Amino acid sequence: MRNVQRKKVKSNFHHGRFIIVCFCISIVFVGLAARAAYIQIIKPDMAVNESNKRTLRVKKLHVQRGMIFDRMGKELAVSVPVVSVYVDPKRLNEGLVKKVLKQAKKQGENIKLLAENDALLSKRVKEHYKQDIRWKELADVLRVKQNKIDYRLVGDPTKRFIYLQRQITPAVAEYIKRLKLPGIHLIDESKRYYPAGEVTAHVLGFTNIDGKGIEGMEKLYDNALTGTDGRRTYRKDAQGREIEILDERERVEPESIHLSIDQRIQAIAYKALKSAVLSFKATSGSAMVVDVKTGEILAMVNSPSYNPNNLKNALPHKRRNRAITDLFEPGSTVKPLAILAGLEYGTIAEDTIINTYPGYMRVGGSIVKDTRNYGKMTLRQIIKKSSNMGVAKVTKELPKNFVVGLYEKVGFNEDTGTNMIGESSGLFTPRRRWSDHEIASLSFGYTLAISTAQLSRFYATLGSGGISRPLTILKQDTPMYGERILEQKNINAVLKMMESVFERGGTAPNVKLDGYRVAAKTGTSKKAVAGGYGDEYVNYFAGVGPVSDPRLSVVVMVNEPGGDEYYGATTTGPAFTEIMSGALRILNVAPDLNTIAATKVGANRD
Amino acid sequence: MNTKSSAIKNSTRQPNLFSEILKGFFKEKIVCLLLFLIFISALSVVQVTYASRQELISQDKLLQQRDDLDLQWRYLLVEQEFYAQHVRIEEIAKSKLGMKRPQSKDEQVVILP
Repeated sequence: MRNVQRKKVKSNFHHGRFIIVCFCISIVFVGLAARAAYIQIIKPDMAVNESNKRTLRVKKLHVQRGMIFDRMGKELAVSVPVVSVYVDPKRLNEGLVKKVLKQAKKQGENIKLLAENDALLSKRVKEHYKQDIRWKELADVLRVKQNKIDYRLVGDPTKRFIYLQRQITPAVAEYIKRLKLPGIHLIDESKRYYPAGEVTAHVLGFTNIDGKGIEGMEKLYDNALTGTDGRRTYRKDAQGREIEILDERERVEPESIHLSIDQRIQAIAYKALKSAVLSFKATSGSAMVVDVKTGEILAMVNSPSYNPNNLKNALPHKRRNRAITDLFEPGSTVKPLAILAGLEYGTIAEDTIINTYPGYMRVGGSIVKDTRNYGKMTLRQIIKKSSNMGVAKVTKELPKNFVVGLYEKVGFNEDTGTNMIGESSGLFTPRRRWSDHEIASLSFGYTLAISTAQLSRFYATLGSGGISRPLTILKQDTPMYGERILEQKNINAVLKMMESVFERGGTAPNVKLDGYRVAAKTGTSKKAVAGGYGDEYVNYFAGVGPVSDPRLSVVVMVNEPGGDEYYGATTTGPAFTEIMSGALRILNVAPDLNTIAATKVGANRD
Repeated sequence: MNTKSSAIKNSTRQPNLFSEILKGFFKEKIVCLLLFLIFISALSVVQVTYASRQELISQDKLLQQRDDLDLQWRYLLVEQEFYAQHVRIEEIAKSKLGMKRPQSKDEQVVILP
């Protein structure tokens, strides 16, 4: 039985066949292995490329420009993401040609013939373009006229990049994306938005359409505000999800800038200045508020201003930050410095009486005069009446170098230290020979021209009791380093004198400050024109308050008031009081005028 | 003698292929164990890769969400700033709510000890 079975097996086995089958199968496997080896070892690039084409993606990690805050953390400049649309006319044309050929194929035409016939093809393409309603929709959603956009889209198919519109909202971008037009692409960009608008326009400056700072703070701190975009290389799966990160460059977040500006004070200052400039038909105006204890600028405004969110109407004369760029002769506002010079040198004392009779005098060939003959005056009266004779007589007794040196020390020949773009350092060159008349003019604020910022710094020095600090536009944790340049007791004496300006018979009797004692000085200076002084005026109102413990220095300047009024007190007085009392209230400074009843909490317990 | 006869006896019968394979396996215990471990490790590689991909996908989603929220936040911020404009609030306070700035005589100063 067993033998039979074995025989049967043997008889079924054909040796030749077996070998052939083995050979064939092994050929197949060797062939497969060879092909695999060819693809994987000898020429692997092609397979890798094909795979990468399908799965490898690079994503740009967009970073927004840094924000600018005021001292209370309120946002003054925010970047919001927007989208720009551009067209690649070459791809667009290719897309259209493809469509036309596809249609022709459906209708059974000879495509090859059509593809070779350029004239006919371009005619068909144009027809197709006109028929497709999506292109009209694109023009509509971008709010452009169809014929205007046509030229850019199909005008020249050799071009590769033309912007259709920049900075559209994400909603519009989404709509365009869904139109699925050939050759139309979107790129992420960001747009700078300034919530405070024209109020902070000059300080902040603005960026160009590519997000680079070109004015003001935006330019000064452009590097800090600009981050670096990141890049991520990753593999995606069939559903477009990220499954493997191959390479990643983290984005570098930009820094934020914290300004010393207090937006509430800035808004009050802007409103007050704007109404002063408008109601007195002035060409321009500036105002500054400085914290005298730290040197920080709490407000810096100019009028006319512009809307930084829409630069269409921003003419160059509106863009200028006049508070730091424009120079004027400060006039009577520097008279306290002349008095201080005398006090510092010791030629006069607080109670000195100066005879200004007969109200005019000849100094070095020119005449110095008052509006009328005031006769004998105390220093307090000189400041109160703003007597040119009085201060000229004070400086006449002093060495020229000392007077000029003091003007230099308070910073009339240097910038204020803010580092802001376009800041001027004044027109005052101490190193030269001064004539007697020039020294006399210096005492009442002529023969030198300074910016509103420089005047603010001088008044901040008065407010801080004689310590001169550089001004800063950035929020500080500790006060700016200051240097004592004037004696505290002299400053106290002069501040008391300056309070008299608001009294009956002073230069600003109608200007009333509610609740606070303020030391201030008005200024009305004629503007120099070629060959002498013209008919235009510059009005100043500068002061510090509250006198009992000065906190703020406020300077208001109005240039070329156009109405009948040209006295400093009339044009700038209301703005000055509004800014000073408004700012002091906001800063919670206790009123020091005795009309206010003060309640001391916890006083009963003692 | 006994073993030989059983071998003969076994060889005469149709061998059970499955049990023979199993027997072969158990002869090489270490190899068998290694094979088992290889299976485990291979499966866990698959599992871990799958899990890590899921994590990556969710991370990507979260990052996307963060950017979307950031975008939304910025738009809300701008909107808030628009409504919080100093001029606008002052206008509303004055005209709608009939508020005014206090005069110094209306003020009561409280000085903390």
